[in-house]
Amino acid sequence: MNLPDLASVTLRKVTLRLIPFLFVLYIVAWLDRVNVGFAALQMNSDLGFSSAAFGFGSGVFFLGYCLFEVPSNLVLHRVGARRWISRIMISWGAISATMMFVRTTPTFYVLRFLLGAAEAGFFPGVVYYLSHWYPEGQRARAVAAFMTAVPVSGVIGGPLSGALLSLNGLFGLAGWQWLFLVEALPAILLGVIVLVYLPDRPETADWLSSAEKDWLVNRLAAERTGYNGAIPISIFAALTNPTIWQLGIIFLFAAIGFYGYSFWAPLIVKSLTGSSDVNVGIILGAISAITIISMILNGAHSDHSDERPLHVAVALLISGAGFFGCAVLRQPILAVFFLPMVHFGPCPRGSSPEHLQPQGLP
Amino acid sequence: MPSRFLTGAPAAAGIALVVTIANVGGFAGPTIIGAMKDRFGTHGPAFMLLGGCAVVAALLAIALRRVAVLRGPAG
Repeated sequence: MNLPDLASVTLRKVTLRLIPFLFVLYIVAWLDRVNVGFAALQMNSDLGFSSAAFGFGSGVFFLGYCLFEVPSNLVLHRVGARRWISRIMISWGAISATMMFVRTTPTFYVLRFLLGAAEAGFFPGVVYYLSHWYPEGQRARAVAAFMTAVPVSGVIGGPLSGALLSLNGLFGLAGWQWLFLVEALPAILLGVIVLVYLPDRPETADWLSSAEKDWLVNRLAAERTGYNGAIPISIFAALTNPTIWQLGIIFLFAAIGFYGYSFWAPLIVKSLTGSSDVNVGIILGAISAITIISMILNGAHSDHSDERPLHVAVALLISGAGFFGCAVLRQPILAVFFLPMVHFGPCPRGSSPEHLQPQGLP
Repeated sequence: MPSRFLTGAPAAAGIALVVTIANVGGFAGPTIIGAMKDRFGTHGPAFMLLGGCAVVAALLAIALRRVAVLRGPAG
């Protein structure tokens, strides 16, 4: 077999083995991060939470996530991606399930903070893991495929969450308790499967032939040694670079809109339409489906024209128009039509904060 | 975009900084909506604010086009 053939066969095997599985992991991660917004449809009134308490509890996830990001990454490099990704999934699943026992705002805040702390390092962990499997040119596409899991999670999560809320009262549990319990189980189960399914390195993958392993290992090793032509700029210079800060502010504002929407969408759709919980889930699932299409189109156009800033700007302007439309319109049904626009903003590749990591930058 | 004009450890530091700032947005977004909903009784004012944030972010992104020249030879 000549070299290009060996390369494409090896990478196709790696893709088929790793990407669909990692994709499912990320769907579940996202589901457990934002399902509190659906739970809120019942939980807030059951427990008497104010809007401010719910908003803060949703957001405090990111304080835990942020604080533990660096420590989690350090441990990841020490114990290996496979074991650490497994630990992350099992712990966030356990905390997510524990959410069903929330009664007071302090426990709500603490559990959401812990959920963020548990999930910290997952996304960079997967990106780091992929760096052991893909040469640089192919890695960006692998990561991009993985990231599409976010809107796909919305398509599945909306109707699923709505259906689980309708179990309200079954076996004495409220619908929101069912939601936290059932949506946490896949994380724990998949966390265990990670240990047997994901090899740490190509060297230990029994589904690659020895020729394929050799090619991949040598290719990646060659890339690492050839990497020393970096632009001479110090870490300090990077941290004080005005462009970095400009980017930071862009992503700060994009994240405010994106996560503001993500956690509040179920309550907002409910208040606009007065639909049942099940229908709220279906409406939000449909909005996520629209998001997938716009994300793929915008991403493909951006790649094709090799242009990022304008594609991000246009998406953000559409998102802004969506927010203004929702705020101003008195007709609830019309307002709902602006929600897909709101959701569009962060969707072009990489404008959601943690997707900054690899190539996903504007 | 840091990955386009920086490489190695400085790029990692720059990206970490941007991600950290962005996570603050993840905290602020839902918190602001909740606080403003309690204050005003509707989501409208919070949505106006979020729409304003999106427009400012869009303008800053357009301004970023000027720095593309900073791209390294590899980027």
